[in-house]
Amino acid sequence: MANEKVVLEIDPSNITTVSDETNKKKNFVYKDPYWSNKEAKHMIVTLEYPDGRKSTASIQDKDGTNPDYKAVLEEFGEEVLDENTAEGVKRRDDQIKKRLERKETEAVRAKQEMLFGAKLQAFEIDAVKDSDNIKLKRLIRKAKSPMEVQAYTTILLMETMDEQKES
Amino acid sequence: MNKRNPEEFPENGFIIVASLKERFYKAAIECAESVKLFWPEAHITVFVDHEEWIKPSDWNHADYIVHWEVPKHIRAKLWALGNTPYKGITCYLDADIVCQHEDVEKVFDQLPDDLDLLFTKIRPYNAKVTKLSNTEEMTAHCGWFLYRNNPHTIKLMEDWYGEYIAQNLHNNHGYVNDIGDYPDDVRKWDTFTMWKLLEYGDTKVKWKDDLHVRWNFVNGYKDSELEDEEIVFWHYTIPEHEIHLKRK
Repeated sequence: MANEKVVLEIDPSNITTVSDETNKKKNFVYKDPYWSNKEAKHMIVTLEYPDGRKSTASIQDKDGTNPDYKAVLEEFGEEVLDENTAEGVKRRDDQIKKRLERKETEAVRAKQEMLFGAKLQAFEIDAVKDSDNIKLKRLIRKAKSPMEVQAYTTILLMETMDEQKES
Repeated sequence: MNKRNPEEFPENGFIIVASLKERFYKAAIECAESVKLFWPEAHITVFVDHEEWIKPSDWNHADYIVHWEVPKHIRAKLWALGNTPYKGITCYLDADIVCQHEDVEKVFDQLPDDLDLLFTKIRPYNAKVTKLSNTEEMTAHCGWFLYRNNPHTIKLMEDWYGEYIAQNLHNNHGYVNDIGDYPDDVRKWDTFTMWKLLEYGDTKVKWKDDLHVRWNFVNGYKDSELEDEEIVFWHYTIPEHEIHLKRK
């Protein structure tokens, strides 16, 4: 049954041919087009649909026949695309700059917190907290690196031990 | 010997305020201790809303510790400002500040004779909110400042507390008082209240916010901001998880 041959009979007088593709009316509008690569005739455009959906389309016109490319250029003009491209590049540069600044601030903050943490730990040592060695305590507070904190704390502790030995 | 009678207080001094969480009080005492380390003659008043947190040893670092009538309020600071015991210049310090330079002795010289109130500037790259609109920006850092004890400046401080309370008053339907087009998020910032009073209030207070950043160097600021000067006051942030810890 599965291997049974099916004969197709076609009546040549009863064939309907597909006519030229009818122009469908587009159900979106183009928004904010800009050049991805102007020399290569490559643009990026947002398509906005009546229900509010948006999508991004990449349109390239390699052989001069792309109807979307033509439509966008006719609607907006080359100058608008140039302006949008310049604005977009500036926005992107600003975002990159902001991101880098944020990263830099975070790194600075982490480094400063580490230094402050080292000072806190030093002043939590009873021998440091209760010490009358104002000079060294000031140096610990003023230290600019955890290593400096550690060094001055060690000196203070050694001096305290020496004093204890003497007394 | 600490001078504990306000009548005998020097003209100028520091105030530090701690309320609601004991960790803030611990920080306030550490702050006082750091100021005294570099300037033993400095006069410091600490305001605290819980008497039971005060240890006898705290009097070694603070000259005067006030708990009487201090409101149990997140912004007890604003109440304390109007109640400064100093008749000349007061330097307000957030509790999470430490002093780390001898130049602290020169702090009261920083307030020019023709000014009543002096702040450092907020660095927008290191702040949660500064811009309120395209044309309005909060620039004065309200965690450290110098102010003069004269009637209009004290009135501004009292208004600051009153306005802050009004700005956060709410009932079952939401906030009671309108703050215009500004986002509700800014209600919790006392900086916003001060900005409103200075920008739109009818205060006669002469103020600026251009004091060098070395006097209030906040964690996260770039070192280049210092322009080769040394930090006098370092402003850190108490980690959120620590705020709920009791004092050891």
